[in-house]
Amino acid sequence: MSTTDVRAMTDFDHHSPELAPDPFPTYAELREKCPVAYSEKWGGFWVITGSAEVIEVAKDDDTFCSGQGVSLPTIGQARPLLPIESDAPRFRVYRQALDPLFSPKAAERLEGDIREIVTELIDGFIERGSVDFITELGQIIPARLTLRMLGLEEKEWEWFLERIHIGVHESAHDLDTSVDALIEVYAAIAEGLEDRYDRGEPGTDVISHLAYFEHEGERFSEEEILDICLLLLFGGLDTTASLIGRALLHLGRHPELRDRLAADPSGVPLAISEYLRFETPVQALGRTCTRDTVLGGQHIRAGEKLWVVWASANRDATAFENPDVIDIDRNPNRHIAFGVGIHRCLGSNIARSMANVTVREVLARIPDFEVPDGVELPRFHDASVVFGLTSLPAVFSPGAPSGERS
Amino acid sequence: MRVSVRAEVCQGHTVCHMNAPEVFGLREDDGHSEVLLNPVPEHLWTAVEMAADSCPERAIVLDKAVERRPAE
Repeated sequence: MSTTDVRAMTDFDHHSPELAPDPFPTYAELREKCPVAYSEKWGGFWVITGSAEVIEVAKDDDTFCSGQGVSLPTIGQARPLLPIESDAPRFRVYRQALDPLFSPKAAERLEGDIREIVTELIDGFIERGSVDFITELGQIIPARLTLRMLGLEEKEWEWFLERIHIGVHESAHDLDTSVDALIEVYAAIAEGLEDRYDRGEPGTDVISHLAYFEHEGERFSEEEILDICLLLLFGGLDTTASLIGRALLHLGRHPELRDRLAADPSGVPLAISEYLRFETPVQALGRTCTRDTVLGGQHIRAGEKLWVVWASANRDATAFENPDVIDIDRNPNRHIAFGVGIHRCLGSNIARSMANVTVREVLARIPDFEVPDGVELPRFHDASVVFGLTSLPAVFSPGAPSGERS
Repeated sequence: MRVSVRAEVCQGHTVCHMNAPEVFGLREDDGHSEVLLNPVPEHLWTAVEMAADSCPERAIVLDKAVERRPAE
């Protein structure tokens, strides 16, 4: 490929409110014209939209590091989010501590907890014949499960959710409010951590596990543990809710597919993979270039920022046939919704598990649900990182609570 | 057909296991892939090819040298 010192320029701004409702046409145009392009917004950064280039960056974690931040501009917290904003070798120690708690086996063990939460939530609206799938289901499941896993107050999920929302979506627009919200969450986690230290021995929850985890005879610092726990809340909440929303919106508008999956739920996991590809909840994350290099024919300089758009790679026609069509049977489906390379989403197994269980339970208990035409489908007003619905009204024939409510 | 997983490339996406659980096991601690069955029995070839083509890391290597027996 020929290289040039003349930069391919774009005025792309991932925080722009005009982009937020539907960023996909913009990604398509960038992919077509310049899959590696430079924008002067937010102090300047490269936006990477081609599948091959996105994968090249993510897999080369030496040249394109994460330790100098993955948000753009930085989210406003004084400390890094761990482990995502760290590099090897320390990164590997964090993952060694965390991987067993988020492994496929761990996700399997959590399925009972997930089903219990989903059942209780469906019981809460099943007699009504109407629901908001986001506010009454999708966003509550990951919030409650994450707090339960961490060992924090599960019944305070609304308090945590509100602050995480502000932290994720307001950082580029209202930094002070964003920082204040995150400080409150830090304080709540710190209180939990103090309690674990006071107990003097490890328990079963994530905070406790981290408090007593040792690598080469050394424990994590309190700050490291707070940074990790904040990321677990950041990473798991709106993202999983967005995936559940995408799935139920599509099925609620396509009764023939909905009925087919209700009759044979073994197709649900493949469908979930396709929803992950089609409307990737984590649209993009940042990297920093550590040495002068060439990517997609463009010269990238050491110290420059990159914005790596997973959601665009997942719509690239060089990687997927009919990329703009949802095909719930798509297989093979080499989507990279959970990233690629060493930073592969820690929570991927549990996120899929939550989506699978939720869709199966909805199909089983309110099989005729529909998302009526003409309802408003609002989305986050900033789609830079998380893209998803904030409300998804649906109607169905009322049913009976399960009687399993605890 | 023989199959191998490049351990240094696998990141534990578990997509191979979703496609062919008989052939790809997942390590208990981190969900990284390990091959359970080699050579791959013929009735699982399609599933294994699907797994290889779905792996986001391209960690799965298929050796098809023994794939087709000479006709008759």
